[in-house]
Amino acid sequence: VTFEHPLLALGALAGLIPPLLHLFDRRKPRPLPFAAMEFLLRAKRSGARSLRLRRILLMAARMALLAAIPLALARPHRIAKASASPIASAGPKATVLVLDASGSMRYRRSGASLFHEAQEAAKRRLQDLGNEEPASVQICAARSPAAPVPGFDRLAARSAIEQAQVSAEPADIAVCLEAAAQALASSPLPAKRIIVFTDLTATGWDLGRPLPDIQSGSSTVKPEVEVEDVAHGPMPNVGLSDLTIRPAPSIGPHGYELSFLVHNYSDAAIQNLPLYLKVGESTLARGFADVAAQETARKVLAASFEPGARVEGRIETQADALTEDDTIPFVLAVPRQARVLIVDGAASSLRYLDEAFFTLTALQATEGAMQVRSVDPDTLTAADLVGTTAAPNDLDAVLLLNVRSLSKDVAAALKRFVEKGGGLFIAMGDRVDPDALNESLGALLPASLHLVKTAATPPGEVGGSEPAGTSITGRGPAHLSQIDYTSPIFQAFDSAAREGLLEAKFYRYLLVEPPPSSSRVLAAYDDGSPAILAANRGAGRVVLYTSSASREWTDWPIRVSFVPVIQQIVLGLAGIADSKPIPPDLVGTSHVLPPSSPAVQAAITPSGHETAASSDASGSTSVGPLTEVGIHRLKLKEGGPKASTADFAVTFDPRESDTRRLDGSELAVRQGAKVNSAAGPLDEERRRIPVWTELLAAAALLFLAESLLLG
Amino acid sequence: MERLAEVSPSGPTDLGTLADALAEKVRRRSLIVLFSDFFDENPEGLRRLLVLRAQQNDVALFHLLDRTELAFPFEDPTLFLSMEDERRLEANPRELRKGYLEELAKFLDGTRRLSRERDCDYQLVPTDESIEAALVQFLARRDRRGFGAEASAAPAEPTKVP
Repeated sequence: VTFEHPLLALGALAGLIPPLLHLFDRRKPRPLPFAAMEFLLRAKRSGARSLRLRRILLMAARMALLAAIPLALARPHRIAKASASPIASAGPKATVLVLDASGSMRYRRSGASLFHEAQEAAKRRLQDLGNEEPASVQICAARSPAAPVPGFDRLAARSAIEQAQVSAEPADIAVCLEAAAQALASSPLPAKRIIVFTDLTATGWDLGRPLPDIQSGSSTVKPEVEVEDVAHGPMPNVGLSDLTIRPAPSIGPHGYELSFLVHNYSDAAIQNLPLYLKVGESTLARGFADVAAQETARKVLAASFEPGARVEGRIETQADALTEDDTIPFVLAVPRQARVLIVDGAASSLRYLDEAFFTLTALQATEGAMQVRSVDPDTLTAADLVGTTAAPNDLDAVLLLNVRSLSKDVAAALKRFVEKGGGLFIAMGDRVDPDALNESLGALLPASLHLVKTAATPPGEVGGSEPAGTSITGRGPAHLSQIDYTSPIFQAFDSAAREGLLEAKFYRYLLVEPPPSSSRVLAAYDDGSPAILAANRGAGRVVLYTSSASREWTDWPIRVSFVPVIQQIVLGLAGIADSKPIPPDLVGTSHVLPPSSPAVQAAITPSGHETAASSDASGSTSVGPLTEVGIHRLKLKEGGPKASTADFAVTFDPRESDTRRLDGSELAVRQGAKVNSAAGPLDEERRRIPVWTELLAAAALLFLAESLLLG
Repeated sequence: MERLAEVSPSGPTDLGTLADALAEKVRRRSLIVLFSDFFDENPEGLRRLLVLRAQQNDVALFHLLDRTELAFPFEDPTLFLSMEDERRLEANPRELRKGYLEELAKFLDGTRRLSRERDCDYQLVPTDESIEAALVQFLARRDRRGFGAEASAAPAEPTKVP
């Protein structure tokens, strides 16, 4: 028996008051002459025995009454004994102990995890097995090896229990039971038993799947399945999951919205649950969530980051019994803002007629990834391209759209700009003078410009008004063909999206001389003429597009497919890779690296272990399966571990956040398992049975008895 | 009545000796009025006394008892001292009350029943009531019946026996 208020229990000494009073407070009786003495003496003689008994009972009742009241106020509890095994032993049984090592077993009660409780319970059951009962251990987690055939090496079994590690992944109990049944099938003992130590979370069980049969000789045996419920009751839990990150230009050029789910797996609504977006110890954003019982809410936190920063952050809420899902780690490579200069060769006051209109619109849709400036070719100076000595320019890419020609100074500056690492995009148009451009840009071009070809008269144009030197085929507009889909600029086009790309009509384009081997044709028209060519020049890169960036020669700019292509071209020229935020990987999955990634040897887990990388036939590299939650770093083949923008985060599996439990009786009814929910040592609190109410009732009865004894 | 008032009680009750003395003294038919608590250790004393009735005497018993003897209202521990001898008893009255009152009731019933059987008048008189008044009532009742008439029943008791 334990007391909530032990000091009050000392009040039970009040029970000593009646005998002490009886001993020390004997007042001198008053003498009284009395005539009917004979009757008094007779009354005493007749009731002497019952009187003595009554006096003793009265004293006892008073003592108990005075002791019971302070004892009741001390709120005593007794600890219920754990019920014995539900299975009556009927002969020796081959036994497999199945230890649930799924993520939800990390749930903590009284400072210890349920998995630890399961280990202790399994060791107790192992100890309680008869000497003639063979046993083995099945750890139930993803990719756990099958249990060995039950044997009598108790030390090995105990060691297997002690060395087991709880995972962060889901476990399929049905699969584990089948593995245990397989192990039992090899045991010569006819009686088979499987004991599962689990938290009974519903996600681990498939009630529609019957318990496994065991083939024993020519007959089929149904093993006896016991389930030891180590959670002993509801497991209220709040978990975060499903983080997605997307740019939020509304809060700044490098603003991001982090959207995630908040699950409330408890029977009580949660109000004002604090949520944080943290990087290191800094809190960048804070919010609150109200989530109804057993419901889920989506929450968004937003913050701006430094351009070019590599952010290792986390979404966090207050820790509860299952801490693994109270945090979602993430890695975010914030791109630097590309500075782009458009040289608009055919500017117009009507925006849609402006040569740069569609390009500008497409680049602005990159949600702050670029800072775009537009200039007229006549006002373009060398300083615009390379800056001055005092103020060097920090341009990343220059786009020449329908520019007739360039002055010598500007052309020279452009060459220097490219050779130093800048990107140059050249689009054609009716104002372009191929010869002048060939002369001014020379070897910078991926291919020398030749003459304009009109595949068909553009809509709205009167026939015969073709530019001088135009080659006319008259067979109808050209289409893109021979597209290099492995190039980053076309990677966004899966098989369904390619149709939009191939439907673009090109009425007129510039034919080029056969490109040198240093140039690469990324796309060509259906007549084989190059449409998009790329070449590295010095430290920079040049892309030549042989049709127009306006509607003058083609309808491609008004098609959706134009937008991602021009975006990727400019991002590539600016040296900014595709920087879409990558959501965290789920524990248990593999992290797939993009083909452009450096050769990776392994990923280093948060605990310092290595997870090997592997490549498949298609050449893509993956790392996994990932078994730990947190930031993983890539170890490159040529060097040691080093942080890179390709580091990635791994999150807890949200299925394991779902701590809603199976009804043990349902499991017993539907699958015939015997569920034992008796409390273990960790759950002493739950097994405390209050006895103060009984004490108060006893005190009331004693009071009544005392009154009756007094007569 | 004045002679009676001068008498001071002492010693134990001995109704048998009294009966013998009265039998000696009373030679002709007489009215014998007896005032007593009838606490006689000899249970035959009262029977011998009531024989006087069989000798054609009129016998009237006035049973005198203290009110505390009838109700036994004591609560605190008490040392009871016998008024007729040296006996004493230290007791908690609450524990003895029930048994005492049962014994007393048995005694009063026996005395009353014996009086009725021997055709004697009987009246219980608590000592806090006037003996004179009880006696006058008795005599008046006797006059109404006529001297020497057979008493068919005991007169109504003026005091309720607990």
